[in-house]
Amino acid sequence: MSFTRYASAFLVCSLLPLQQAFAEEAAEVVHPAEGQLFEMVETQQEEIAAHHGGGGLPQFDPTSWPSQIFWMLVVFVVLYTIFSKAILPAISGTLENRQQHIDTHIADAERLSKEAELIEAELKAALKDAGQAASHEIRSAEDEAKTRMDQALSSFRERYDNEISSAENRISGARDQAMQDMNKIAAELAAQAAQKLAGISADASQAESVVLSLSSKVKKAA
Amino acid sequence: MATHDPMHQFQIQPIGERLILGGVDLSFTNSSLWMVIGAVCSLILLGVASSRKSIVPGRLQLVGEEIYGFVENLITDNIGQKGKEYFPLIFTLFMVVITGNMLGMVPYSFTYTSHLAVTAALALLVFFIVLIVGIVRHGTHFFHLFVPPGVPGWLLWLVVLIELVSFVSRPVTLSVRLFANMVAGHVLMKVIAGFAIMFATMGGVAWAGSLLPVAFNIVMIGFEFFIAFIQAYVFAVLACIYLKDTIEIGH
Repeated sequence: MSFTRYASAFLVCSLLPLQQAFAEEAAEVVHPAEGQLFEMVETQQEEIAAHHGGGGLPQFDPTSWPSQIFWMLVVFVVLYTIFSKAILPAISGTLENRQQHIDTHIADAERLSKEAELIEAELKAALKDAGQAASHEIRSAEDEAKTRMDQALSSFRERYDNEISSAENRISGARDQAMQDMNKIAAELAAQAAQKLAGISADASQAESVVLSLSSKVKKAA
Repeated sequence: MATHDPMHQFQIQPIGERLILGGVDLSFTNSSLWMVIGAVCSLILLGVASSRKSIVPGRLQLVGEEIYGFVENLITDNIGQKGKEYFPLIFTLFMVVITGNMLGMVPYSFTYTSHLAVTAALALLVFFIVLIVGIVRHGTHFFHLFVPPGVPGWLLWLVVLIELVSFVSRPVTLSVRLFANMVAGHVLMKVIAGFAIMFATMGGVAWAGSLLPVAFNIVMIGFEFFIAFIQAYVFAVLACIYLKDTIEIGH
């Protein structure tokens, strides 16, 4: 890149006389009558020649070097002093301050997110415990209800059975009683009928034993 | 005409009274004026930018911080953490060169970095700082810079000679690179502009001939801004590399 730049610069410099010739020609064309202009151009060219030392670069005129170096160093020292004492510390302070600000915020955020994770874990554990406790309670309640129902059922059945059996006893007692009564009535009826029909006065107990033997025969036949 | 002369822009002209101290001409010139303008511009920009210290930077503050960060990266990339103490030096060098180059792009301004005396002064400043830093840090061990390790004895004299020449030629290349780039670009722009004016003043339809130089100069101006930045960057990077070589002398 540099090489082509220098090359083009040299090319352009070699074209310079041509351009100046053109310019002079142009001046002639535009103002052919004014002789003053040529004088002006001449004097200016003389000035240029004086400045340049024969058309050379002003950069290679050593008379201007001390002044340039002196002022460059003055400006450099002033800038260096102000930069190093005031401006650069101020900017680095601002940058550090910002970095610190960001760092503390990040640290805070990390701490808070850790806290949130802990709380979440606690919450999950609490929920799990609560769920376990609830299912335990439900199970015990179910068990209790079942045992109570079983108890209630069994006591009810017991009572029911007792009542049935006592009722059966009473029924069979009542039936036996009724059978006995019926035998007695039958014996009395038979004794009274024998007295009235045949005039035989039959003993009640005799009659009863006859009835009993008859009824037992009937029972056996049945 | 004088203004058509592409070298006229590099003319040094004294401003005000001549200042001669001990027989040396130290007059304030147009070159000095633009150095002062550059210094004032960079001080105003960075002064205002650094006076705003908000956590979320505004535009101007961001510009200052970006320049700071740019030079800081340049130093950490080229020198490393040891380079922090040379930060103000590299920063000032970069600012002086880039303001010189950029102000040179202002029409009718003076490009102080287009003068060999100025670039040589800066390059010699870097050279002597490297020398002093090397001797202060390493003492006589500093001269091991010219004796690379692992060179056979019979070749040593040649290698030392080469190293010595390359060390001494550093300020020359550093100053000539910047000065030549600035001169070449500015001369080229001026000459092309001169062609445009020549065609325009010819009369008739010849004015159409000025379109090409004008178009070319538009491209050149963009390119010159790029060169102005890249040369300041190269100057600062090379200063960093020279410092690094001296700080880390092989054992």
